[in-house]
Amino acid sequence: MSTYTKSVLKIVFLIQLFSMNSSGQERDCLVCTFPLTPESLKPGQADACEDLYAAACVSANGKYKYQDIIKKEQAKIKKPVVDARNKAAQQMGYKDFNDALKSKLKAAGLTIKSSPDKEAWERLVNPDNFLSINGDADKIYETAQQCGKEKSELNAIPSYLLTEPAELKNIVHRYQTFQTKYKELSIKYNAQDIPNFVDQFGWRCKNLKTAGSSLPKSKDDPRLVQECANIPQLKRQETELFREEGSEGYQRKAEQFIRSHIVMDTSLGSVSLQTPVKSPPKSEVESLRDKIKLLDESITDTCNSYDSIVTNAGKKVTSDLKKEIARSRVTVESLIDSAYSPERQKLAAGIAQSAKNDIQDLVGSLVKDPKKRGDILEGYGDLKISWMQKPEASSYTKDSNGVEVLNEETAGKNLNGSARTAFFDPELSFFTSINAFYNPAGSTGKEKTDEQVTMQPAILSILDENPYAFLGAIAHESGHKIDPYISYINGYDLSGECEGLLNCYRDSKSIKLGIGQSGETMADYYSSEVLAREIQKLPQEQRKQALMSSMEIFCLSDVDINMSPFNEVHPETSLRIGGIYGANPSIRNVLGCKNDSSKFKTCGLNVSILDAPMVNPPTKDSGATAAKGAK
Amino acid sequence: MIKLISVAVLLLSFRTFAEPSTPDLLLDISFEKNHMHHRYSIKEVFDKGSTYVLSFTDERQKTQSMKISEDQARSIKNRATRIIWENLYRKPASSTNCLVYVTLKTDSEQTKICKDNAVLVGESYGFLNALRGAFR
Repeated sequence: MSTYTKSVLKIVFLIQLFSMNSSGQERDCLVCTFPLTPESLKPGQADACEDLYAAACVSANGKYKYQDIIKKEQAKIKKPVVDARNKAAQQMGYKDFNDALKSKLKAAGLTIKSSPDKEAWERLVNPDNFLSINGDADKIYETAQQCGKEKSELNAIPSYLLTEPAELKNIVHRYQTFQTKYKELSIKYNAQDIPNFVDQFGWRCKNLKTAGSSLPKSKDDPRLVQECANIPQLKRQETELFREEGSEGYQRKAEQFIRSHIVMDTSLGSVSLQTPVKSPPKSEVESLRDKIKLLDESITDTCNSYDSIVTNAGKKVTSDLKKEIARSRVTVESLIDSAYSPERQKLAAGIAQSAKNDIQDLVGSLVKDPKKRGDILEGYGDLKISWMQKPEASSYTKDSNGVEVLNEETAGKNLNGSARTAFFDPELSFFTSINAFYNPAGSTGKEKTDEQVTMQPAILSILDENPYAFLGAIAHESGHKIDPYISYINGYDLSGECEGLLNCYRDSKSIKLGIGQSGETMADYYSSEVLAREIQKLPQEQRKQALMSSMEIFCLSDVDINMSPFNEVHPETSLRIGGIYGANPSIRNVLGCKNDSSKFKTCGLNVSILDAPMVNPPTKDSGATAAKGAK
Repeated sequence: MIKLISVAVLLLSFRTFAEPSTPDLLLDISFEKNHMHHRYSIKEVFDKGSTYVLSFTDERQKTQSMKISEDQARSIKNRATRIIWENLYRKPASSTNCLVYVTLKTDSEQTKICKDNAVLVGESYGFLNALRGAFR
């Protein structure tokens, strides 16, 4: 009897054993309870056996199947964070988070317009990234809008038509009042964020010189040049102020510091109104008109500069509120309750166990070295899914506003896993990023971390409506334990065992595997084997839909890259779906595919699973490749 | 003569402050996790006035770049500066070994955020996530 046949018999035995419970009845089929996604039931652009990507992600009319639900999915992912922030704001005595933010902005002197631009407000509250947040001040804040209005009124004055010195003096006064007003307001807002002010001042100093030269331009304001040279000496005062931020008296001290030491942006400061010494004598009217002309030029950029300062002040207030809310007990517990419910934990654990069983089954064929195989099989027994727990009551302290928040001092020691850091990110991105990862066991000093798979909340939320997609994802992450790189870290190098299969993927008729993509590709392959084993428990007529349902995360990432958890070490989505999952012989067998795909070379280990007959066994000619160790 | 020396000292001190070691590099962020090395940078490019380029180099050393406005460059640098200041000036000195989570460097300051600093690792995580979002 060949080793291969022995392995198959052993697997069949093990499966029979596992499929019976203690009373001898057939074990519940977990996947049989999973719903199929509506998208998987829609006709695709191709049959799953021909091109799984085109079947799962693209409609018959050529449009993305998931196009219509992308916004709903995005909102669903963000909802727990929105809800948690609202709850925390309510506990702080506000109607909701928006109400709290408006109130905090107002307290900082930033009154919101009666009808702020909705999109601009959304960009302030939930910025997608840094590139979508600037230039919104006049759409949100009364003061920024007012600046533009007052400037336009000044610009519209026909001073050249006026002949009375009194009238012209009045106009000069209006310009000066305008400048003084916005200079004072700028000092107030700048004082709220000293690091930013210093940074912006450094920016102005940098702009004093032309590229490649360290010398100031001759026309540079000499006082500014001198202040720039003094910056190193001012650093001590700046950092002392920074340490005092938020304390009583801080604002007054910070404003005083800015007034004393820093030359304001000329567009916000006063301009020299002296007429040139050698110019011929002018009448009072002419002199006043010259002054007005100079003032008119000087306020050209006033509101632009002011908008930047107001924008930054608003972002600072928003960020401070988000920081406080993110680490508040209400937010922490609300997010943990919503993402890590006992129901989800039970289902996730069941799915993870199925995936581990299937991978252990595969390991029996892949790894011939008994020592390595034993280590791996045993190691899978210990592999856990990380499941965030609510911090102990002693992990919290009250902040200066009386809000119960995570104690910064003890967070490093008292909190575990992702909870150690997730709530110190004001954006709470851990809860909205679609991501999952495998961590090998590690240790730092005497502190040890367990080997575990982390499925971030956005992936956990998929469990509710599409457990198939969760199955594919957790199988992928669990598969990393035996990918060619991490298996080495884990003490059982499988690079040799994987090489034959990876060579198949390198082929131009397959996915043209790129440098650095081997680990992710093997994890995909293991995931595809798990899916094959699970899907074959379903009636034949549901298998294609189940497989297409499991591809949801891939399909969503293709519609909107922001939904993508994948970085560059993963092959491109259509190649992953079509060339790894769709070209896996085990999957093709359980789907009942009669021929190889015309698009992708069939690549997989020479393994047989359960009761699925090898309707299309891989051959050398068809390109199916057995990894060295599996032969 | 004294006046001349004062000017010379002024110019020298200006040079010390204003000239970064790499003249056009405004921000450089280096992050490594699970053997994946990511790097973000903002460079000022002088070409008929200043333009700003945000770059991201991934774990395969592939670099993507995009032009950003001065306001956007300032906004990103501002967030980096705040994290740097919080690390440099708000936490007590530590004698423990630092396992580096992320290195942040601007044209005037730099710092390493250690993994044991849960608060700043959390803040940096959000910052890195937002930077990554710019390239999606």
